[in-house]
Amino acid sequence: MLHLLNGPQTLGNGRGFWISAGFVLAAALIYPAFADPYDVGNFAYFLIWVFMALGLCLMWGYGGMLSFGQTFFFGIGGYAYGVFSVDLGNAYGMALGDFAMAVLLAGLAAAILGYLMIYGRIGGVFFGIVTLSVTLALAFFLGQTAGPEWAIGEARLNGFNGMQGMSPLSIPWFGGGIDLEETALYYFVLILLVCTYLALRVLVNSRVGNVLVAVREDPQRTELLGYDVRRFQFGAFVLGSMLAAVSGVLYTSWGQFITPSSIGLPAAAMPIVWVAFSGRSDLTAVLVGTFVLLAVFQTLTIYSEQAALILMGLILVVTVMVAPQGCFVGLSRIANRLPKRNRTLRVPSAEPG
Amino acid sequence: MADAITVIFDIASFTSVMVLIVLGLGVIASMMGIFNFAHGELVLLGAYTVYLSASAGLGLWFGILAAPVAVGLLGVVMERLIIRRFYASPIIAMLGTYAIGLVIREIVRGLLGGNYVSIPEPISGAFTIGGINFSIWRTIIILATLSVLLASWWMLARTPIGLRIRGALENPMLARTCGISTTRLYSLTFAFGSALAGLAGALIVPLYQLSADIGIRFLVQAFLSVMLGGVGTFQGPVLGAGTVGVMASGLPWLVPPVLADPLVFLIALVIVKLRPQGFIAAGRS
Repeated sequence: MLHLLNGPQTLGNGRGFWISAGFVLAAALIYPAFADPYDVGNFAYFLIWVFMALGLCLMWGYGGMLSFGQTFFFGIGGYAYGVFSVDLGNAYGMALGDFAMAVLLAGLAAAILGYLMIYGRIGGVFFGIVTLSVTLALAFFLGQTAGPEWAIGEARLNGFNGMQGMSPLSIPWFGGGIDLEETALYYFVLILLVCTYLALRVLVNSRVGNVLVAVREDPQRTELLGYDVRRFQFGAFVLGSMLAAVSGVLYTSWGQFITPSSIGLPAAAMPIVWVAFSGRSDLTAVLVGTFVLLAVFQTLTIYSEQAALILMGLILVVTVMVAPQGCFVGLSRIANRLPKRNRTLRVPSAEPG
Repeated sequence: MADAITVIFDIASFTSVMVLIVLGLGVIASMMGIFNFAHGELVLLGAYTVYLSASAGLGLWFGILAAPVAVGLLGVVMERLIIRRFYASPIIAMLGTYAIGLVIREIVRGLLGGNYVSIPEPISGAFTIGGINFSIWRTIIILATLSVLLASWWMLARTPIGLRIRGALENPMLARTCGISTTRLYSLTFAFGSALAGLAGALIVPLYQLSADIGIRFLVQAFLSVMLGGVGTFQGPVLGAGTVGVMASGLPWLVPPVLADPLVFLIALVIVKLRPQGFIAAGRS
């Protein structure tokens, strides 16, 4: 199992990579000791979005399906967690149950939508358009649920102002639960992220990942080799969408609110900007790139939100024109080319069988 | 009876707006195979031109006439500088045009200061037939849409340039071999689609307040229209726009308005699932 951490579908397979990754992780682990809780919470906020980016990386970069719907599942996860946590509470480990149920609910939605699209053979550009449509439809709908009749149990949806008043995630512990806020939340998110990242590395280097890449490269050839293309796409879509829901739950728990504007445009396009800029075909690139872009975006937003959005747009234009495979992947290819001895051979297609 | 006619007039005027917007989008999608995600922002720029003209003292009519020209010219510039590189990969084109749209939208939002601006109707008021009032401006929009449709159809079916366009659509490679410059045709098509968006924006801005998001509200419905209608023909997107327009403006009369928007998407998606190639499939394989 562990040998699959390295393989043809991921960049950064050498000992040097893992040693530096270890240093980064160690730095991240001791960071709260040197920073004040507000900054730690802010750091956690950046990490929260990375799940969504990794999900998009899986379905778009590896599976070749560009989804505009990451915030759709983000919203379903976030709102579902809100409703569950208001109605069911967060005591005695129930919060983790709320978490799991919210993500599963988003998975169900992804299964329905994915079935309609993938088994309906909607591909390419139309995949993007359909996912964008449902995303905006959900955002419009939630924006109109201001009245008191729009409540599920005790939880008011509250229209454009969004839901609030849900309880944070909490872990059952002796003598009462630990509410996950600031530093505690940071560690929770960090550990979850490391596990997710490693699991995804194993997945994309496994047989499933290789077939997925083969589907991206040439669906027809893969089908002729005897694989059910749609099953692999369906799986990648559902898994990637559930990762978006993980982001949604963590975000809702982090700020204890969620609004429809985190679902609609321009929010729906942000994951695409992160992943496209970082390099969609590699998990590590997406992990690092997303983090960097989020930090830049937040710094700029303090001065002007418009300037930040315009910069995101320009970054996307320049990326797709100059380095369509993404900056970080492009850079690491260049870096790989310099010392000849360490050059890794990337095999884009899968070995059958 | 009177109510029914009012409703039908309402549906007809909204559907005209949809058709006007979708026509430009559909022409570009059919010809170059790319979906212009900046189309909504081209509509916005058309509307903004009217606002600029009005505040510069040139009047609303000048703005309405200038909008298609200005946005069409911008379309040429966009196509020459950026869009042209994307023809080989429609998905990248989607991202590129989305990004361009984002930049345009946020710049205009900055220029408008985030405000909503009301633009008066150039000819306000209503006329009465048989005791029913009809808004003059909405009638003009319906008539303008019909004339644009007729003119576009005539141009495609009856003129030499239309023949070249149909040829390039049918088989670009063969068209190039015959000495037709598809590069120039693509620029022209993009300019034409942009000009239509500009005209649509100029005509509809008195009905909706001018804000940076005026184009976004139509974008997804316009995409669904093109999907429903099918890419590659003239009639397809128009028919799709008609369907979506009638649903989007008719459903709020039948079901609670909150549910109308999601219902339109749902019905459209089910139709697309049943008929993935659209109402009218293009002749080419």
